[in-house]
Amino acid sequence: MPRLPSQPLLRLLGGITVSAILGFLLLPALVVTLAAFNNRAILSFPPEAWSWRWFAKALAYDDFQAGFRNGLIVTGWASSIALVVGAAFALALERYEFRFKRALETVLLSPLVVPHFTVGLGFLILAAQLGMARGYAVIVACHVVLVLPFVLRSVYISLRNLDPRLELAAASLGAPPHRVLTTVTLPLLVPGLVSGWLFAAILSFNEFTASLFVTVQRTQTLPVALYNYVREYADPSMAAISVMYIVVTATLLTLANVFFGLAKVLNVEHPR
Amino acid sequence: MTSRPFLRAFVAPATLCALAFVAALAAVMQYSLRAYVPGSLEPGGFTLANFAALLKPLYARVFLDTVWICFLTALFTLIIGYPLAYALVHARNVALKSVILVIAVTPLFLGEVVRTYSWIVVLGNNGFLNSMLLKAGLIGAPVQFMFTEFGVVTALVHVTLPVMVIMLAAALSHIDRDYERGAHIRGAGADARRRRPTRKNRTALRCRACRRSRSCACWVGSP
Repeated sequence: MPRLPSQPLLRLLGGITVSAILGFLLLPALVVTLAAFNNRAILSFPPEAWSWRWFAKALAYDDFQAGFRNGLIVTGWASSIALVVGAAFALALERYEFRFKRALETVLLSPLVVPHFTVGLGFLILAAQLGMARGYAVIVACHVVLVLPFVLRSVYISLRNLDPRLELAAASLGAPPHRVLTTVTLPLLVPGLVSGWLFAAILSFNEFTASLFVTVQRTQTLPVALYNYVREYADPSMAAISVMYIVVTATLLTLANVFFGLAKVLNVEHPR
Repeated sequence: MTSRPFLRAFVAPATLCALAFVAALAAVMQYSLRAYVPGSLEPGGFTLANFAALLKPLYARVFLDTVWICFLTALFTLIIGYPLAYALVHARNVALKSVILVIAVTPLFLGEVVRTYSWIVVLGNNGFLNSMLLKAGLIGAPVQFMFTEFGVVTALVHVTLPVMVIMLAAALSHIDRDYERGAHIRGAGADARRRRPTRKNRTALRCRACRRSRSCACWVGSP
């Protein structure tokens, strides 16, 4: 067996490896930030002059404003509906045995593996066959299905970490089931519920592939508006809006981590 | 005790969602069996012609390319995902841990458009990478990174890494640390300590990574 390097050396090597990987993950975000603050209209590195003008241009662009508003409408509805549906089903999944339980769970988790492309196309064809106009209802339904697995997972994991004796105690002290639910179970689930909702909201707001199918000009969400923009223009407004996107998403994830323990929700913590 | 309060209320909305999803997939399935009528948006009668068209050599090549790129993506994601997952689980410092976690999962939550655009800025002919290499004098003319296998795999590894890290970290964090201590006491070096107890828990995770991001692939990859 070859001699192993000493412990501190191994640690140093590990640190360098991990830093390099984190650098790879951050590279696009850092580079797009450089591009966004570059005064020139074409890409050039490193930038010679800095300016905020691409941010101003991006914020003033009508399609982005409309896309942002549409996105908020869709995200608000989709994430809230997904939260209610997902939390209810997670409770049933954790507590009860019932017919078709596994089948239902499999179907509801499968949007994780079915390409969003197929789901979007499916909802488009379905809406056309049912004679529905391509309004918000179809987009919201599509987004609910797509984000549901994330809500399910996050609520389910908080349920698993919940001490069932607390509910039993409440029940044995005479609380009827609905009181146990509203005064014991749901308050204890708040971190899981909020982070599940937050996941759903971020994913729905950023969803592009399926949205491309189910939106029309009038209802297009921000990612679709960005796609249409980047197909026609090449100025750094797109970089500016990407920076805003990245900053907002990273901030929300950081907040979720600080307040609700992302590690616990993602189930990557040592159970202690 | 067999009482199941609220069972119906809990399951009914989810059932509705599942039905909508199944109906959407059934709609695609049904559409795939309908004939194409030239000059009309309405599909014709039922036919298998669409599936027969898939047998064209062009599609076979695309399919093989996809499988190859998936394989490369899964391989590289595993190679660079493992150290990150290990660091995430074993970092003692809470702040460091949350920094790793947030950086590792953010690509998953950024939309395809923003993520892919950022990679175009990095990999394009006037992009960051080429500019830096030119400045450093390592290359004389811009290297084509976009639309190459290298570019596509790089962008795909970037998206699939969060999924890999989350799954590996979930598995690693549920390995009892006492096993590692045990291995250490029995005289195993740091390297063996890392390898032995975790191998079994890891096998199930390998091939889950490259399913997320077709659109990313087709965007960076399409000429």
